[in-house]
Amino acid sequence: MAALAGTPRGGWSSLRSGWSSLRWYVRGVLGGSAYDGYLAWHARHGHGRPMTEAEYWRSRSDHQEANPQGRCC
Amino acid sequence: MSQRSTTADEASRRPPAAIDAEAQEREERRWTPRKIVVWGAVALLGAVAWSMIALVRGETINAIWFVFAAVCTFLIAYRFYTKVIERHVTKPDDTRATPAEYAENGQDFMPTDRRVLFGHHFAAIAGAGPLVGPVLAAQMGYLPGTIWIVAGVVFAGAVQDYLVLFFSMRRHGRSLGQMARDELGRIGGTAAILATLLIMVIIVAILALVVVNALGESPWGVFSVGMTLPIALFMGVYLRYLRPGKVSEISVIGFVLLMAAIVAGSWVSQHPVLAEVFTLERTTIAWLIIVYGFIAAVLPVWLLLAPRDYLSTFMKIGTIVMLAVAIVVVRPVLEAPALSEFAGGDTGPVWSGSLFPFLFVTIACGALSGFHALISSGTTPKLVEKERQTRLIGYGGMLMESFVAIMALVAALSIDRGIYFAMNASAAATGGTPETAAAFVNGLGLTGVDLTPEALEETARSVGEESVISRTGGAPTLALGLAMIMQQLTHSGMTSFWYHFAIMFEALFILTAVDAGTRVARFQLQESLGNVVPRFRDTSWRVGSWVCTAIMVGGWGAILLLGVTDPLGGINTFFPLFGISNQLLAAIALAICMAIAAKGGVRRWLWIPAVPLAFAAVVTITGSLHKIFSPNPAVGYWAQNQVFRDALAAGKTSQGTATSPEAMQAVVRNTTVQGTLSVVFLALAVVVIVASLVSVVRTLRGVGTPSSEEPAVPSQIFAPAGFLPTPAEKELQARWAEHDGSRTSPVRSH
Repeated sequence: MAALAGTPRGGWSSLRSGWSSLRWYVRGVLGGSAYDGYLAWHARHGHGRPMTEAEYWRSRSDHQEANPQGRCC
Repeated sequence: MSQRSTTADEASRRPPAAIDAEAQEREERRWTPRKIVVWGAVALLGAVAWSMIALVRGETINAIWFVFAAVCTFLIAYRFYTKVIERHVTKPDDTRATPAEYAENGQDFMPTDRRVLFGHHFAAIAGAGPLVGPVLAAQMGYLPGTIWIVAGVVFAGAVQDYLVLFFSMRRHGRSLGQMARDELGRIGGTAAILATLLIMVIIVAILALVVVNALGESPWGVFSVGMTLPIALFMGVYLRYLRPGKVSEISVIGFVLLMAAIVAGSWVSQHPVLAEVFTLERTTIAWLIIVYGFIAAVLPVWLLLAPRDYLSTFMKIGTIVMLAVAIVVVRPVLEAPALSEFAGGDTGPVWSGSLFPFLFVTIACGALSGFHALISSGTTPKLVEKERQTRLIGYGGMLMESFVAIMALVAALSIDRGIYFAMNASAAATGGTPETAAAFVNGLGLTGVDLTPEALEETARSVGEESVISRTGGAPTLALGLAMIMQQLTHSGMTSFWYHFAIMFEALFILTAVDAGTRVARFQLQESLGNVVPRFRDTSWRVGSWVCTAIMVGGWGAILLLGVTDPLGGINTFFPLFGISNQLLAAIALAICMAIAAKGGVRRWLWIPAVPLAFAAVVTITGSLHKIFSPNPAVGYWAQNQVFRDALAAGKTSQGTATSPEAMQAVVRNTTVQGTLSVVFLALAVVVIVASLVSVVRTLRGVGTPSSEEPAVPSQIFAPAGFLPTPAEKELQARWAEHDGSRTSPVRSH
């Protein structure tokens, strides 16, 4: 979020912040940042050891398996 | 977004979860000179653009006016009309926690940045629909389609998406079917669920028909689309075992492989042996898609569905941005008339039926799409961070889809009109050869159209196909339009690449919709069968899931095969069914929204959902009645049925475009199926609409059941509502940043 709100600076650093905003956005839209969200949630509310990244994605696809979502036409 | 705290002491120091309502009101009502100038300019530009489109009658019109007219109208609708809806119907309250906050579980309930969720939601609602419908509607000229896309989205489509999203969010992200049951009672609810199931089957079948028509006798297309399967499987294995969670990385790899598959397709299409192998008949492709649909729906999600979803999202957003840039830079000139020769009658060669109601069902996605109600009550409401953001995500997301539809319309209109009709009239009409097709198109009596067989051959050559004649379904026409625009931006030698690029990305969306739709329908069927045989409710029961998948695939597969072998041209007769069913679902969704709004105390402003509901109901019911009762065989399914039965009884061996008794029997069979489906749809829609009206009347009389809204939970987070934060939101954001900074560990960064 901070990257998107970042104020423009000199050429190189604004290019870098632009790139990191783009990366953040694409990751978010594709769903790649879901594990980060899970870790943040776990830190606040979870108990015990958080799932590893591989475990998390497995549980996520198991969840999708049981709760299918349509895609539009 | 910020951390939550539990102790009372912390709660007292926490900044508020919403900006002050009065401050917000003041901010919105204050008209600075800059604001007045900006909105004045938007209104003026929009007015000029609409005048150019609707009033100026030149030989040609520049595509840029369509972009201006749409964008200016959307901006005004978003800034002003959505505020009216907010104020009088939804009344969002940011002090209430959303399900993403109060039920957060690190999986499907997770507060998501509004800008990210906007992209996510858009990717889920946009597919091949907004690309195909406007192409077919171009038969009527550009004006009716443009007006319907823009006005339809503003007053109907985006309203539906927004209301469903909002109401579902207030109900723990419940699905449309569940909301129907809760709000409309058992009969209305059951009819809504049954209608949803049937409609899903029809939509999947017609989408698959579009793919079959695009790939028939096209070795290049079959190869490159076929390659998406191994690519997706590879991506799935990569994400599961090699680098879990590296979604962006594998999407880029997948994209590069896709491009390689398109380039390789060119080589395949010129290879003497391989070209033969990949040249498949439409019936064969239909069977392949049916087998594929079954396998894809029973395979684990991670292996095929999820990776292809990433790929399709990546392609979708990339291609749409690319097309928008290309249209603005190239500014193609359209030679189509505002109203074509077919606008006044019901005998157009692309699809038959009069402008009203059939234009309004032909363009479903992009103006009003009932299917969106399933998405807006599915994944998205569980991810919304703050209530006020639903306006951006629900309404704004649909405006975006509508913009895609406008671009598709522009792309379809930018190709030569003669070629447009040669591509979109059924093979039975064009005869399939350049000579007969040119003669057919020239015989249509279109002003300024003089099509030569050479022009058709040249077009086919330029896109790397054997022939472009009767490539119905809209996808190939859009691909040609897109290729013509893109080659002006890149290089004329790249026309065939861009054509197949467009075919592939449409096929990608559709195949994703096919197996996702099959899965959803399978679950619904299992739930329904579970009422009779309880074991079916266990969705992990292998036999039950296979049986239900087979039933659903059998359902859409049968309709697909009827469409592919239809002697009257498949798309021509089946597409109205697709549009009617989609619009019917929209009517159902709007009826549910109206009932909920009435229960929420909305009275004078109930017209906001009621007007689009009335329109959708009139369109679909009239459309269905035409299809059932029209005496014109080209329009009425039963009239057509009668003509062919009489002909068979009289011992004739050919009738119209059906040239054998078998073909005539096929027409009888198809029209029976189509006519029966029309009757069933009509009955279900009427039941749901009547149930919602009964619910509204009971509410108005004060005897209705209360709404099933979840009790309010106070929110403990804050985030701005729109794309850019307002000054008051910025100020509150700063307070939250300070508050979070004073705590031990800032959890979130990106």
